Amino acid sequence: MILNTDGSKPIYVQISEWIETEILKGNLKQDEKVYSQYKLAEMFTINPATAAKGLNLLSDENILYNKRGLGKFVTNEALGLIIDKRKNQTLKGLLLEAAIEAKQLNVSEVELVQMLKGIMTNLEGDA
Amino acid sequence: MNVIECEGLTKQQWRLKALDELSFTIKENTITGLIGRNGAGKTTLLKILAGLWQETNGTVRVFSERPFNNLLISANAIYVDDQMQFSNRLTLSDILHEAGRFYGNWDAELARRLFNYFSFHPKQVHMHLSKGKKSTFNMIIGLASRCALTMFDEPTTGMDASVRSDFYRALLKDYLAYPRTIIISSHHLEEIEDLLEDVLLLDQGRKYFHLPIDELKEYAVGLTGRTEMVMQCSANQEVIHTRQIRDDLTYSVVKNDNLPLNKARQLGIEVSKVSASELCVFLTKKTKGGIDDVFK
Amino acid sequence: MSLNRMGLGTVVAKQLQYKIKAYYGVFSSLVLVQVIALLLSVGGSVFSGTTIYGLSLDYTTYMTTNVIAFTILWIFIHAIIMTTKTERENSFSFVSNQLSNNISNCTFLIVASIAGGITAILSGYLLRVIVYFFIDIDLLIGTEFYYPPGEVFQGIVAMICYLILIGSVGYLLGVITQLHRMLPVLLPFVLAGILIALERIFPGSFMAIGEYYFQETNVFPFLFKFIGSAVICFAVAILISSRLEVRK
Repeated sequence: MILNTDGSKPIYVQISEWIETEILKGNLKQDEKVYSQYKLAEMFTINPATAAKGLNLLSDENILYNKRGLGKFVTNEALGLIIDKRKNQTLKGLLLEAAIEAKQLNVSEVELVQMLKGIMTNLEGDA
Repeated sequence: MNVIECEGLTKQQWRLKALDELSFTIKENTITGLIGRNGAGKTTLLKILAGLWQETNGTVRVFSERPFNNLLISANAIYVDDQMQFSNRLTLSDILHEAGRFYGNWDAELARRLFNYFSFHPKQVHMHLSKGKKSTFNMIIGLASRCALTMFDEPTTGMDASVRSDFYRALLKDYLAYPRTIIISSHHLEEIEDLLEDVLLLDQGRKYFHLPIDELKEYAVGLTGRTEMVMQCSANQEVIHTRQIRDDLTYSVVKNDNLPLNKARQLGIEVSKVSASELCVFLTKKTKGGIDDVFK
Repeated sequence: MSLNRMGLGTVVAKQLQYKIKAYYGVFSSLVLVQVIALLLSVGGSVFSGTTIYGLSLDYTTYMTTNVIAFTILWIFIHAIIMTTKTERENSFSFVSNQLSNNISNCTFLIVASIAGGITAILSGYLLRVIVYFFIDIDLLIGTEFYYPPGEVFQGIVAMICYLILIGSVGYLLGVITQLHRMLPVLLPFVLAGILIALERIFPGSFMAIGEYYFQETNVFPFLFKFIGSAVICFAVAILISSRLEVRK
């Protein structure tokens, strides 16, 4: 992954999101050890303190847990928490942006829902 | 542990105060970006920390000792810039050999690998290197010496984009393997910000702030919108920069101190992030305006 | 990361080694200077003819003073060159402080003086050999052709002492000129002024100074005078430059 450096999101947030995505994709399983801050720093050419901040963000949200001296591991509830968070925060945020844009363009609610439905059908057709 | 402690550090050069009552500390094994405009005092500060120059007033301690003319500091703190001088009677490989005799932590293998990677010729003379090559060579000395305090002053002068990104990656990898205290001064904060833990911003010899890089990125926001709306939103707030885009359209950079951002959005103001490097430029501008004012 | 502690002695030794490498040109210029001086001497410095009791006599004096004068000039110039901005900055490329830099410079000048002293005296014998074998002369008079080794050794020691003293004076003058950018221009005048004033106020002090150094025939007072004066010059140079900033 290449980090987005245009300042739209702090690097440590991008790191935590990248790990979340790894968990969502199943690349990191329950009770599996995640990358250390040094490994992450090396992977993304970032300061290890920034990487640590990203990891701590996930610990605070119970997505990761600490094993003293061993590193951070994926919790049992990680997957559920991430899905929940992405639904309530990321997805809602995206929808909010869509709604604001729709309002600016005078797109009605019905029309917006229809557009969304069309996109969903297309996606399923591709899959 | 603090590697550097400065208290009221002042450096007088002729009538000008190159450093003015500077106080800060730098923790061990951190990478700090030293940012500021031309003449802000970056080089003066680094040369004092390296023990090359003498402070006029205040105290400065590096590894708990006064750095000026101090052998312990000279052996453990290296200052790398594009003015580094080497005898022109020595070839590049001679210089690397000599550096190895003087610096206790010198990694000859790393130096050799970097030397070959950047395709230097062992028989070349330092004086005859191009600007970018000189910077690259000095960078090799800076990295391979593995000094507990390593200072790079505008290390990428003259380097092309590819060498610059190689340098940043080399610096980070070697830092991860051998943690040490690193200070990089640069005009290009956007290039180095990912490497940094902290930023020390100097303005006319004074400390503007010393913050973790992440806080710096959330320090301020940009507001773009109808002039009166932006004015209303930024009333009683610290406005860092403001620019009239059109008669009735204004872009303001405002310190992000519990700003009512949602309200602003509802007023039709576009809220944007301000990158760390832009912010530093805005903060240290002499006037609130810009180059446009010159042409009025 | 633990700190590297290097004593003054270690740093000076490393710097001396570095300087011998970086200044190898000093030694090759020594050879060049002495060869030129020798070539000038082979031509003969004084040539005259005289007639005594109807006997016409031509004599040529072959003197080694050329070599000695050139070598003294050589150490003086190199001592000054060592104090220039470029050379000072080159000394600070690696681990150094003013004290270690000065001590290693002084040590280097002593090493150079030893090399210069030995070669200057021995080249005098070379001159004799050249004259004896390659120049058609009838008589070789004035000096003995062979000297006992003891005297050769004495000559070498004396020459080394001259060179160390001149080197230390050059080094001191060089360091003084680094203090202010006007000094390189002013210093010669100031020095000349001081010397003239000295001669005015204390007539004969020039002679006295000359006698003090050059009329000493006993070994130990001689060594004491020369080495003592050199030590004073080096010490003053070290004191003056101890507060200097590097890479201004």
